[in-house]
Amino acid sequence: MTKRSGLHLSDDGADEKSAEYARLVRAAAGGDREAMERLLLRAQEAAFRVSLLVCGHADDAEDVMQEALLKTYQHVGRIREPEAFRTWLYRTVRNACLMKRRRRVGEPARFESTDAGDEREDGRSAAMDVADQAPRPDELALNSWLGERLRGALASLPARYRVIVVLREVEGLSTREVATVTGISEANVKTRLHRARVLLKERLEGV
Amino acid sequence: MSHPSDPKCVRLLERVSEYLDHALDEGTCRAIEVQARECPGCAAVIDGLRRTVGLCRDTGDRPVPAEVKARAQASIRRLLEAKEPAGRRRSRKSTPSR
Repeated sequence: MTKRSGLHLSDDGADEKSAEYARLVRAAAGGDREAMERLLLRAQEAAFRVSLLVCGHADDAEDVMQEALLKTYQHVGRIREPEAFRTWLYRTVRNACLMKRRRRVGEPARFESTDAGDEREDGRSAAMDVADQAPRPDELALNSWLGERLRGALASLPARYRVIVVLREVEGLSTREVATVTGISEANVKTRLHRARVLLKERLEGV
Repeated sequence: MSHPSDPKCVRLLERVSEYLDHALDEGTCRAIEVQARECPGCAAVIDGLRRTVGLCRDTGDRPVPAEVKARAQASIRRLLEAKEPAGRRRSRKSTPSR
């Protein structure tokens, strides 16, 4: 089958980003302090974006950043496959987000994975039913950074779609990497991504 | 276009994500482009999805807020200083600044 490129969107950058991470990991493991600092900063920034967009709480995002910092520092010293670092990082961040969701007051006590079927019949997330509180100043700053419309549209997606769209579109992971991070098949990633994109478009357009 | 009844529109909607991801063969891409030219609803779906994905990707490319970055950098400094051998810490502190 001849595939073509041109006016479409591409995920060609995913491999290059993984290679960049691998270069930083090798240098950091070899004692390069500057590389270690850059790697830790990148890990924390990724943890911040993913946890904010997937969990939706700024406080949780700060905690997940700290966890990503410590785990990355510990992991670099014993890593065997630097090329697999990127998927390891996002798996670590996703697991930390899952734990945060589990512990959050007011959420169900039982453990729910982001793959859990929390979609209502109208396609909206059950989390939408939680009463809104007045936004805190740091929340306002985050809305300004992220765009309140996009943040709200992402939050309204069922969790099993939200995590896919954040990893694939915001973080730029390839379909294969998203499948590795979430533990579902590539075919399922593609299906969920398509549904997530359509739902997100409808929410952004106010349909 | 949310619930199209024309089979051509339905087929396009099913494949549009793969189209945007370069995952289709030349013939299927051409068929989608012909359909988009003939159907304003299909063209709007493609444009809307492209904008939606673009908005998400722009977010990923945007630097995190400055105060978040500053807190991250402070955490990194604290961690590295705590883990650094005491001898190296002392020698680093005694190095005159230029």
